[in-house]
Amino acid sequence: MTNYRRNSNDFGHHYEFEVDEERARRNYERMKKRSTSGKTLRRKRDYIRMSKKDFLLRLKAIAGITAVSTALLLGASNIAISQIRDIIVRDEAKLEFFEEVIVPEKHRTDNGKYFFYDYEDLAEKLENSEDFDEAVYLLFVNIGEYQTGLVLEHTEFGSFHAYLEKRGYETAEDFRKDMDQRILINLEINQKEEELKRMSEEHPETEIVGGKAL
Amino acid sequence: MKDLEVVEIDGESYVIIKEVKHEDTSYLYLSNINDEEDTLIRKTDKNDKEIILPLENEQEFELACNLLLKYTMI
Repeated sequence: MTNYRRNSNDFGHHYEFEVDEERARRNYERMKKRSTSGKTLRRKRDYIRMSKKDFLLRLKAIAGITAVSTALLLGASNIAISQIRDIIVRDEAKLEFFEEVIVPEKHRTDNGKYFFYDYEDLAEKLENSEDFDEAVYLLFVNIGEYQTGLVLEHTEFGSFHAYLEKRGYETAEDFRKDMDQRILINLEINQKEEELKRMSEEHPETEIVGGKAL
Repeated sequence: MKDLEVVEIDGESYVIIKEVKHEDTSYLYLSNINDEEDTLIRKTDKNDKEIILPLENEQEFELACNLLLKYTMI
């Protein structure tokens, strides 16, 4: 559906996306037709176990179709579609953080009309994470500057502003841009590692030494 | 690992990947167990949450798409 092409003229990790509009439109039409037809049924409450990776892949697939579909519906240009697609594809880490860390700490108010976050628990999760800065970034892009500040009040930093200052950022936007690059680099490293693993499994007889196949 | 609810539609098994509440309805985003590209949306009945219905029309489908888009791009 989407081809990814790295623009490698610098280390800016700018990705370009070529969206197959025809296929996106076909998927949209198929999903719409399937969603608006069929029988009424009763929930059976049967469950299966699925790996987190498989779950996220499927969530991304659905989110991708709905995003592209929405763009198509709005008559957006190919650029706008690719931007939306870009966000969805890039944000695997964000989505995972949202599902695994934030959702369990998101609660309804007594009247059921609003949500609130358990800031103390979120702060504890940040402090226990492997990479504190990445966790702050993922929190920030998910729930925004104000709520992130409320979480950081329960850490040694005391506020989001103080955190940015101690890390040498002038603005939240500078922090976002810097961390966005870092996440992309990490994703790329992981993808390369998986690729290398797959290659070595397919051709176990080939040894790679110093970048040259023997 | 995650425990996910399964729904059978037209002889195929789908897992509920996401449930997004909107007013009195929950929209269910489903993925075919055997084909991750086969996705569809259903909703729960306003009066009986145990009943699953197809969406009314194109407008409701668009609404459901927008709700998920909003959810994933918070």
